[in-house]
Amino acid sequence: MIFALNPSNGQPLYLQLMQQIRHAIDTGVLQAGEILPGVRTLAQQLVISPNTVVKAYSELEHEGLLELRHGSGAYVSQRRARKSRADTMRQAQERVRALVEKLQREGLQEDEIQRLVEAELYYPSAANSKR
Amino acid sequence: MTTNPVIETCDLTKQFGKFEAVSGLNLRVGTGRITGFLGRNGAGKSSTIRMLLGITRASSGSGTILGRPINNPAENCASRRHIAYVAEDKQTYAYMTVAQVIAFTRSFYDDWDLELERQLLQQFELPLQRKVKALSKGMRTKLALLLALSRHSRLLILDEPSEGLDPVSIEELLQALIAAAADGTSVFFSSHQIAEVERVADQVCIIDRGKLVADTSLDQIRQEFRRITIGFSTERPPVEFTGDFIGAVRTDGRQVSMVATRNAEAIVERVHRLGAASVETAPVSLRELFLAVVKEGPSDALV
Amino acid sequence: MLWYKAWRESRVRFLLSLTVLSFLCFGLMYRARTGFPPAEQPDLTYTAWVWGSIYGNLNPTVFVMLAMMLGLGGLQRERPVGTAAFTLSLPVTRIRLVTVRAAVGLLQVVVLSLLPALTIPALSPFLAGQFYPETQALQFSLLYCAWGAIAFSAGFLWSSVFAGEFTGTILCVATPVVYRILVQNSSGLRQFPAANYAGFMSGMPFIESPVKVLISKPLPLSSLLFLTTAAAVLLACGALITRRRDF
Repeated sequence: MIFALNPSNGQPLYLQLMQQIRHAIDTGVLQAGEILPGVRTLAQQLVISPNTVVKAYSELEHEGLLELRHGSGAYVSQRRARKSRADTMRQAQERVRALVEKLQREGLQEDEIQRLVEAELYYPSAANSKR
Repeated sequence: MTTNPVIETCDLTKQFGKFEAVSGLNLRVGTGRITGFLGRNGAGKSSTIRMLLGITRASSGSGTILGRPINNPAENCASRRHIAYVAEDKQTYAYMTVAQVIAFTRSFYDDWDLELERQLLQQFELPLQRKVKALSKGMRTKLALLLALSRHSRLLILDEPSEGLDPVSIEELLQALIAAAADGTSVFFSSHQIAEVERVADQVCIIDRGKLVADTSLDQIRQEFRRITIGFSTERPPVEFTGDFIGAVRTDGRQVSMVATRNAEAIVERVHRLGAASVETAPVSLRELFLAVVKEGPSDALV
Repeated sequence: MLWYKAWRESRVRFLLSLTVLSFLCFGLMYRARTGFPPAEQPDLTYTAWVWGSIYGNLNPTVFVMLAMMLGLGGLQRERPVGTAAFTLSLPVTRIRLVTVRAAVGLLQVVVLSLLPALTIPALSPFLAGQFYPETQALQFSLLYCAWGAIAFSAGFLWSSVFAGEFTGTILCVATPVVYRILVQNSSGLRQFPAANYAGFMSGMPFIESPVKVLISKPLPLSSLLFLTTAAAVLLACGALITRRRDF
C-alpha cells in the first residue's frame, strides 16, 4: 500500500492515514477481506510513529471499516460500514431520481414507470427470483 | 496521562555556579510514546538527560525514571538495567575492537537480543575486528546506536542521535527508533533535526533556558495550533489580544500575528467583530512553533 | 566484564612494570653466573648483592612511582575521551566500578611485589649457582606490597580528583619525592620507621648484618596493619569523591 502523508498541512497524521485508507476501500483499491500492512511495517515505511498507525487502525475499526484480528493483523471488513438509515435513504432517493429521469427521457409516461416498478416489486421477474 | 509516566521531574534544577542550566523543570514523558526533546544549544537538554541517568546530580528538585527516584544511586542503577542510552559523545572505549565493545556491553543487560544485534551489525556494516579508535565518526555513532538498539529496553534515551550522520543513515536511525517503539519501548530523544522530530514523534517537549516552554502532542499542533494573522486598514485598535497563545504576539504596523493553541475560530470571530480588514489562519509547523517559543524570549509557556 | 575493562586500561603500565622487574631479576641472576663475586668486592655475599639490585637503593622509590601510576585511571580519565557518560549509564553503581578497578590494581601490585620472591629463590641455584632463602624474599615482598598498596591508593585518589593524564604522571613522580622531604623534615614522622618508605621497603629497620643483609628481626605486624589501613582509607576517599562527582 502506498500512502503519502504530509506532516505540515494542519491535519494530524492519523487522520490523514485514515482518510487515505477509507479512500482506498471506497475505490476498491483495498478489497474486503484483504490484510493491511502490520503496524510496525507501515510505520517504518512511512517513517512515522507506530502509535499513529495504531490510532488510525483502531479508529477505523470503530467505524467498522477494519477488523483487527488479534495476532493476525488488520483486515478490511467484509461488511462495509453500516451506513445510517438516512444515508441509505438519501442515496436510494438519488438513484431513483436518476432512473426516473432516464426513463422519462426515453419517452415513458409516469403511470407506465409506476406500473413497471410495482411489477418488479410484487412480481419479481424470473431471472431475479433467486435472490 | 492515565498510565504512569516513564520520566517525571519535579522542579528539577541544575546550577553551575551562578548559571542555571536547568531551572525548575517539570517534565512528564508518557509511556509507549516517541517523545522529542527540542531546545537550542545550551538550553539544558543534555544536563536534564544526565540528571535522569544519575550521571550528574541535581542541585535541587527531584525526578523519577521508570518509576524510581533519580536522586537515589541504588534505585537509579536498578532502573538503568531497563534503559538504553546513546550519549551526546557517542564514544566507546578506543582500545577495544567493535566486537569487544559489543561483548562488553552485552554482558550487563538481560534484555539483549542477539538476533537484533546481528541484523544491526549487517545493516550498519560495522567491521567487527577494527578498534574503536580507528572508526570514523559516522561509524562510532552507529556503534553507539547498535549498543542501545540491540535490546528490548523499556526506555530508550538518545541525546542528539542524528548528529554527524548523513541523510541515509538518519533514515536508518529513524527506522530503528520506530522499530523500538513498535516493540513497546518508550523513546525519548533530543534533537536539532526538527523535520525528523515532526515526522516521527508523538509528543514534543521544548526546553529553553532551562525551562519547559512547550509540551504538546504533534496531533494537537496539527489539529489545533494555528497562526492567525490579522490586518487592520485603520489604526490597530488599542486592545490586548488575549487567548490561548504560545509565544509572543507580534505586531508590525497595522498587522498583528499570534499562534493560538486552541479555539482559533473563536479568536477569528472576535477579531472580525473588532473590524479587522483581513484575518488569515494557517497551520503551524513544528519549526515555526519552536522558533516562536524560543526566539521570542521568556513569555507564555504552554504546558 | 568490568574486570576486563579495568585490566585493559591498566594492562600496558602493568606489563611494562612487570617487564622491567623481570629484566632486573633475571639479569641479576645471569650476571651472577659470570661475574659473581665481582672482582672489586670479593667478600660480597649473594644476598647482599640481591638486596642492592632488587630491594635497596633506588628500587623502593621507583616501585612506589610505578605503583602510583598503576593507580591512575578511572572515570575522571574517561571524561576527556568522552566515554564517562557511557560507563556511568551502565547498570552498575559507581562504588562497584571503583571497587573493581581498585581490586585489579591491588592484585597487580601484589604480583609485582611477589615477582622477585617467585623467581630469585627458585631460579638462583640453576641460573646463578647461588642460594637465596625463600623466606627472605617473601618478607621483602610483604614490605613492598604494603607500601605499594599505599602508593597505588594515592595514585587512585589523585586520579579521582585530577582529570589529565599528564597531570597524573607528574604527580606520580612528584608525590614520593615531596613526601620523602616532608618525612625527613618532620620530627614527628621521623620516629616511625614505617613512615619512611624507602627505608621500610628495603628492610633497613629489620636488618642487622651488613654483610649478609638479611632480615633478622620480626616484621612489625602493627605497622603493616597500619599501612594497609592507610591504603584502604585513601581508596575509600577516592571512591567517595568519585561517587559524589558530577560527570
